[in-house]
Amino acid sequence: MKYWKGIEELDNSPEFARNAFAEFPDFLPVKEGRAGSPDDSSVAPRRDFLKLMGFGVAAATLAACETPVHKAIPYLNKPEEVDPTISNFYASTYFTGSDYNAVLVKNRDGRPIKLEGNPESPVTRGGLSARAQAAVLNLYDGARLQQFMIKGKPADYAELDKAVRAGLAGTTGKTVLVSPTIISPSTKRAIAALAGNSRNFEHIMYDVNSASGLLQANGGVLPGYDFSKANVIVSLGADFLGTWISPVEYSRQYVANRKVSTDKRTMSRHFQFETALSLTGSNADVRVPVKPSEIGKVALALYNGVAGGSAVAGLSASAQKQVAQAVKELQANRGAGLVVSGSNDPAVQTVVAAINQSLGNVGTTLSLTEPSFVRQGEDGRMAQFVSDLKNGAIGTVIFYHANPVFNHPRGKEIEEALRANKAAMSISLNDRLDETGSLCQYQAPDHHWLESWNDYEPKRGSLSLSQPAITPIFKTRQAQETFLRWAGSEETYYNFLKDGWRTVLGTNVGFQTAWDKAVHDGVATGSALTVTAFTTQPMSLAAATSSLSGGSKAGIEAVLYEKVGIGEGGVEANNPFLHELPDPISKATWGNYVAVPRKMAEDNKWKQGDVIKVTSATGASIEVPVLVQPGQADGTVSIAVGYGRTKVGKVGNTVGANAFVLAQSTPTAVLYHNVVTLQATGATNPIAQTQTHHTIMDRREVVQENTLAKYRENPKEVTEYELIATPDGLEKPNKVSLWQDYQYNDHHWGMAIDLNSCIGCGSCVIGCQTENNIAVVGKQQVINRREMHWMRIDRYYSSNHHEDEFEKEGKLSTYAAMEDPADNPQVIFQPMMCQHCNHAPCETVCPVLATTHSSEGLNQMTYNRCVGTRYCANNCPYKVRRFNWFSYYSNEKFEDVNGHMFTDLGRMVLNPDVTVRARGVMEKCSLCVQRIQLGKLEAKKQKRRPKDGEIVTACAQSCPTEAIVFGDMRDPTTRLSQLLRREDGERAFHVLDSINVQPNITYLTKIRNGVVEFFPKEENA
Amino acid sequence: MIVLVVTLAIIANLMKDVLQGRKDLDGRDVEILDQRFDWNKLYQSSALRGIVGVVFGLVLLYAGVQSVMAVGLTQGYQPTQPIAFSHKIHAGENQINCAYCHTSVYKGKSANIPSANICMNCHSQIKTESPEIKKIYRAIERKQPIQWVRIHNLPDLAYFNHSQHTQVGGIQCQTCHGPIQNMEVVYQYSALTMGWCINCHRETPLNTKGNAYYDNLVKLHDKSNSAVPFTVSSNGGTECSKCHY
Repeated sequence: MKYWKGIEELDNSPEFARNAFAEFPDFLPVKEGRAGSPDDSSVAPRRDFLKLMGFGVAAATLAACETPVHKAIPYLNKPEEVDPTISNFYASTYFTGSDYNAVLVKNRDGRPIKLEGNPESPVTRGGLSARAQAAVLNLYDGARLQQFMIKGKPADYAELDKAVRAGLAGTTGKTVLVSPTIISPSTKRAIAALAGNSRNFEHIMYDVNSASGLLQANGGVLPGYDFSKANVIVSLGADFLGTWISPVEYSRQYVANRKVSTDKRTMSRHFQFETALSLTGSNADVRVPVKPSEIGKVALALYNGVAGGSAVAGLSASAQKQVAQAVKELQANRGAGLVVSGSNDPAVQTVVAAINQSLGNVGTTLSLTEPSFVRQGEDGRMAQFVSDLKNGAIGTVIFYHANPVFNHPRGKEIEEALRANKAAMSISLNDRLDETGSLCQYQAPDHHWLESWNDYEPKRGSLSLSQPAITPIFKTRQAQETFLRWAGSEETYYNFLKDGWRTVLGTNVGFQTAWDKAVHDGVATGSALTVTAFTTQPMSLAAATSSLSGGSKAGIEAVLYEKVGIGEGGVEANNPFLHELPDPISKATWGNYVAVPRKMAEDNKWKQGDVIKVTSATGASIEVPVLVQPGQADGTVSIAVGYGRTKVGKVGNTVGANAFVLAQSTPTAVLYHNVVTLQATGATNPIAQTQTHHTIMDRREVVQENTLAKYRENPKEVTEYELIATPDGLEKPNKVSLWQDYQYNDHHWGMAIDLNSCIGCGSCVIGCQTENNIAVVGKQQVINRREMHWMRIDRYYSSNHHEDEFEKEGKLSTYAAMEDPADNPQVIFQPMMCQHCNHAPCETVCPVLATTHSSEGLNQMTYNRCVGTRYCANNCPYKVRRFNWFSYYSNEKFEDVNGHMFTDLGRMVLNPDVTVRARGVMEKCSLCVQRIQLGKLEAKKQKRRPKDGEIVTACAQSCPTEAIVFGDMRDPTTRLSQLLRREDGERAFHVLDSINVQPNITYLTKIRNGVVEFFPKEENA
Repeated sequence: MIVLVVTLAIIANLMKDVLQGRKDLDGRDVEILDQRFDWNKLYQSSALRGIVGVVFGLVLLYAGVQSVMAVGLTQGYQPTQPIAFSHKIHAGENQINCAYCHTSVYKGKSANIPSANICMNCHSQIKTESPEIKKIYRAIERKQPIQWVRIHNLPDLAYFNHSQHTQVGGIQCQTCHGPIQNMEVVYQYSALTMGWCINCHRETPLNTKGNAYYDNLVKLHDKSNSAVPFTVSSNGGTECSKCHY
């Protein structure tokens, strides 16, 4: 099997080969030359050196003159539970219209500095998405609107309330509130109060990543899914691990049935039919690339297979073969299979619903009685709104966290209508002057959710709360309170909310206790939301079938998708952490691109980075660079939405292009695919990919995978171990050593990473970044290979799936096909960070002992001792050390991307326990030594040993699938020790074992449930 | 010494005068007597110039090293505080426990400068007329917190946690902060340099008594190396990552 990280490595182009072995390639400039100047040399001239030296001497002299006076300012009246430097945790909820997470807010000295998953939540169970990890940065976003405004002038609350109330009473026509899905029962009650006080009130919810088709097919209900009960999962383009409906919840469920051990040698089988290579597709056992227009046919073929109908024309042979296999397995697992589709076409969803119905999956793997509420938007009503607005039928329009000018396919029409003041009064409650808000007459910005009270019901029966974790930073007001004011009520939203909870918790004497517990836990059981009536009638199966069986479309089909990081491009688009989070698959950062299959790029002679004009059938066009994407279906391209914001803030403005314009808007649905034409513009725009950076290792000993069949046969044979020839025969590499071993008396920290559970979502990368104050470097520095992430997720492509075609295709042609494996590769993810080697190569080469070994097994990095020789990074076999090429916290070049280290507002998010590193020093994963030290200290204070699970690193804690286990290897009772003992000689391996650096990080071999085996039903009791 | 030199010089001068008065001296003695000290020659001697140069250079170097090593060192720093609070009266004469005001000294990283409401526990009744205490009332009325001048400033690159030393280590406040109970105005008693920290970590035995965290560690230490005390540094207390991260 061959592994490769990117096309350039697969091709082994001369350029790649030249640079692959240099960690600090010398073709990169140390100093950015002035654009266009001939003096572009990378060598600092002598004059510069003298100038700098003169300045340095002067600065040192000045600094020595006087120590600055520091102030220590205590509270006037200190709250009892707040102590300086002691972190408190408060339960809260993150929900931004597309991603629900129950969180714990880490509060330090009165300010939230980190979000962690709330393990009490039955929905997300302690997992946290990358977006939620980064969300704390949005609180300190300087681009937030800082006060109420009337027609461009600052106003106070009373002034605006008076004007709006007068307007609500005075205008004719409908009053429309446009919002994304609202899952808060109390917010809905507040809106109802406003409705009671306004003329012809309508509340229109629309989702940017709409599930309107799914809702329509299920009678207005979004089914609750349980992937953990499914033995066979068939997904038709639904990226349920990355972006579809409730990814954190689904990831946990999905992996529950994918984890293997000697005692449980079974796992689910996952088929994915999709266009773009998604996070979910890259985890699938069987992935079939299909065009978006073929998704419906696959659904039909599945239905016909399951319910006994004729074959469907127009599918490729390989797709047909896998559909047949899927049908066979679904039928063998009636009631234990699940078919989902990410399509927003009601016809596709109607057929999918029929498949699940006929397989008896309703009530087992999917529930209509415990529905999810996180998508309630109805596309038809939004389309009606746009027409109403243009016709002048709307008197007052209120945008509540809705930005349709940017993210609706008909945004341009809304923009023109708002500019022409078609609605007599327009109000925005958005948190910033975004594309929509800036066109409104009144701005009444909402608090950030970390400053607010609210409740949520993501799924029937599961409630959660959010509570303020900081005093409001700006002169904003909670939107719900604003609604109440406009409805003529003077009640605070807190009282309003609490009153509403009496119906959930009971009005008897125990209410206060139950309420306190709910606030403390952040979650409660109970239900308060009702299913919103869905006005569009469901399609009949016959109508759906006939709409799907039409001929396939001509031309290149484009599919629009969401990125795991940026998502729909709301406030996330101004979050530098998410911009710099490499896409799990393409490893691209900072901006979107059009992903094309290799064949298309070759046929058109496009090279990566060539700017292409993508024009839709309706004439809308955007210009984006090309990225050659293995796994992209033939004749299709894919483009991420959420980029191309113009009014989000310094970080996100003009990064990428807005792909929402390419979506199709029909009167009843928004479809996220379209037929497009592509044309090269001649310009180039490099894509900042981290994919081939730090890629020095030979793969054979790096990632290991095997099949479930082999694992079931003998778990001891799934992992290849390197052995060293000695006079006494073959031995494990660690038996032959030059070095003396360390003795660990107290603790020996270590980590195990299960490659079978890792889905590559990137949550750990962001968790690590917020915990450890890691700088953001911006697009140019990523291109220069200088990203600072301590933790990266290596994504390797591989392929051996042609082997089963020997008989049919003949050996010669199969071998020929194997030469070109980039078309539908298998993917494996491997989180990679400092391995904390017991015989660390970096430690021996540091001339100043800045990196040393601790008595607890940690490889310590001492920033203030480091002189920046970079020998350690050169000698590191894992390429996990990062060098500070610039002062990212003070060099004005990084002010936009790294703003949170520049302003007093932004710096509030920094973790005070971790040093902000200076220019010229090396840094790397510390295994969250600050958390280890704190955990040990707490144990010592209580005169006991630390409990297992009490000390966790940021990455292990944020992992939604529990792929990362951290613990003390010296204590035989810890979960880690037990896991390592159990997996020893089976799946446990060290990366690059043969060089005998003896890492403290252990990986567990990935097991694939490929097509050759089958999941027998009887074994799954 | 100076007296001796001066006395000798006076005696020598007197002798010279007396000797010049005598006419019975021979040529050699007259030559010695009439000898003139040639300052010019001395000035021009390269040996002397060399010696002076080297001495001067060494003095300069010494002063330079001393002043560079003292950059950022603020031992003895005794700023004037906005309110003339006396630790001598509170901690010394009235024997108020340190943790009464510095509430988090056994719990957290910081010892916590007391908030005004802690002052008010007593001073709502005691010495209410004092002009210094009226400053606290004024701060509360105006809702303006009191801006104390911080005396002990560790650099940000060093992590220090009070509770590790007080609660776990059982170290007295005075060990680092000096005779605080006698200080009318507080000053920085210790150098707060890394050498000062490390030295203490090397010499201080761990406070392991009655702490189950250390039970096994003490056993292991006693088994292998019972002759030397089980100090902080023998448990890894001088490793970089114990303070720098």
